[in-house]
Amino acid sequence: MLEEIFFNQQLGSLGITNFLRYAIHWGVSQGYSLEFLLLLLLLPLALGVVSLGRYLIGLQGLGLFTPVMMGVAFLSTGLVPGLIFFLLTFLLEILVIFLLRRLKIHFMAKMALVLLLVCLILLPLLLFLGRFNYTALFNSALIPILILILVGENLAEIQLRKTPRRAVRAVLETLVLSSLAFWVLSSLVLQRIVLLYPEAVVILTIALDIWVGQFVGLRLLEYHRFRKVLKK
Amino acid sequence: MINAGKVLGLNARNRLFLATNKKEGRRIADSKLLTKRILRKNHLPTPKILAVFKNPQAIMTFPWETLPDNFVLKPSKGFGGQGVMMVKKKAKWAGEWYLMDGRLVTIKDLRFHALEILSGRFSLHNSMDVAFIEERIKIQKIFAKYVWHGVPDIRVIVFNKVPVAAMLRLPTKESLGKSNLHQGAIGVGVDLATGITTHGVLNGRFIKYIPGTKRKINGLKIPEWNKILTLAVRAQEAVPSLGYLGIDIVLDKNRGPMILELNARPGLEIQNANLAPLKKRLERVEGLEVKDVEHGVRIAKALFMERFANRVMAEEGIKTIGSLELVKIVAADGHKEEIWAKIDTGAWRTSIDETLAKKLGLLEEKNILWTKTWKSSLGKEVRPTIELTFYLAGRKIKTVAGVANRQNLRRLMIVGRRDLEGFLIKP
Repeated sequence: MLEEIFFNQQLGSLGITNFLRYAIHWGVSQGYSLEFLLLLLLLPLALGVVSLGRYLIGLQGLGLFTPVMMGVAFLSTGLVPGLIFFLLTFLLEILVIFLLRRLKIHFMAKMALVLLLVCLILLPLLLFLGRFNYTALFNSALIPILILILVGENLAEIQLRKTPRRAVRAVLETLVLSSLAFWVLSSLVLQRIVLLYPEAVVILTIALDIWVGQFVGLRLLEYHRFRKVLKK
Repeated sequence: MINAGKVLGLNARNRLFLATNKKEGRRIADSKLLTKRILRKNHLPTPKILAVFKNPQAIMTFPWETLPDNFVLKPSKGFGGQGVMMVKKKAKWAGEWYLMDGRLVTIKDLRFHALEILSGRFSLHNSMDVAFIEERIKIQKIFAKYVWHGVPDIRVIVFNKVPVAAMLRLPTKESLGKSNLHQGAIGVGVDLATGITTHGVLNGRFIKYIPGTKRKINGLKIPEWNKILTLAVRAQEAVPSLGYLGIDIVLDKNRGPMILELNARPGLEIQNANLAPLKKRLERVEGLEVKDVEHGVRIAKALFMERFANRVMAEEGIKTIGSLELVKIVAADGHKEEIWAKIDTGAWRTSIDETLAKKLGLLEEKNILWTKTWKSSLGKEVRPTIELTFYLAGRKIKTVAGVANRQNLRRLMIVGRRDLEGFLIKP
């Protein structure tokens, strides 16, 4: 589909309106994959959408990069398997941290120990899944899986300092934001738009960032939070 | 959603109001030790420091067994009450204490916790930190029945030297004696004029009673309220590089109000606790010329008082008044001047004639809250806003009034809607 558009693309003469299209064609001729080049342009858009989720909707999650990183990881694992795997490791990490709470050693050393235990528990799971020929998730890519484990540990550690209510909320928000990032990065429609009009997408991303960056109104969730004050 | 523009959201707080906090001020507020040093320099009361640990050696060589029955071990750069260890009382053996939640700790545990603090476990971005031990505040009797262990504190938000909102924070079992709302403490709104509590929020829910008890949240009068507000404004004077800040004040049984810490990014839940939108109040106060501490406190009281008086009056029964009423204005020297005033529901604020106000001594600088330049068809004129107390149909009304030239108008004073709550007007 994308390739078809790509090969049929008429570029015209190089100018301010089509220089990115030239760059993409040049990149492909250099041996880069088309998906990779498109992803490079979609990544800033995904970040813009995550910041939109924060400043307009009020989904705080875990900063800006964590959800996008997870979104990238989901690209190779698939959204649902990725989410399930992430939740699983996350709960496992919480459990291990909780079990080791009485162990009085330095914080970072402790977290390293937590990671070791989590990996040791995950290993039999991997082998077990292999028996059922469900190796797709783990063969897809090693690094995304590692990203999910590490992000999960980061999230788990922060959760333990919060009250359970806030902890659950932060996790849910992170999941929503990462799904949002995944959706931007994997959307075929958006990929096609980027391929056809990369310059316009860049300008729109800049406009989005600046607009969101200047927004001082209430966030959507704040309308709920302050509903009683608003009614007064 | 009429109030959408009046409620302060995170976006507006961060971009519009936190922008008035300079880097230097944030540096002070983010370090509790530095804050204490500056407060002491300005002769503002703050709980005593019993020990400071800048390196592991200090922790190992410190004579822990000499510590009193109760104390608090804190990270200097901690936030949201994280990493605070509150020691409640001595246990059976020397060198053992009970924590707030009843856990037993030994010197070894305390040392370990202090080392964790140093390694940055509780500081922003896990950067290196300093640990210190602070004396525990003795709780005032009046609060004892409202908290599950721990000491409540009063958060006052000050902007441009004017207190704009206050909240009493009550530790709960969930918050383990800490008074941070994020840890599960109760936030209780406080009327700025009287120091009487109004509404309560716990974990984002509105509550009327302390959970598990039949104790009402509203109606508690916080002692030494004036001193608390004064202290809050003086704290901002001590750190002028913070334009918008939260000041946490504790009330010690013997020594009265003391400043616990400053907060350069005070949270927004205070709006729910007070059921009052903050942005409107901030905009009201922005740019006012506040002469001194006392002036700032007076502006706050006059502008943001809850209408308790009127609520009490409403309970007494609605009073009926006509469109012309004989009011008694309280002059500066205390005597009462009777004049006929027009009851004007078309005006929001009460307005009084300039000459009359001058005659009554109400235009003294001490009594003027602020002055504004008005542009009208008659050109520019300067109109002061003053504090005014008057009696209307037997009720005492304390309010703010605009001053204008009313010499060629029929009545020297009009009473606006703001002061007519609890009245029925029969023209």
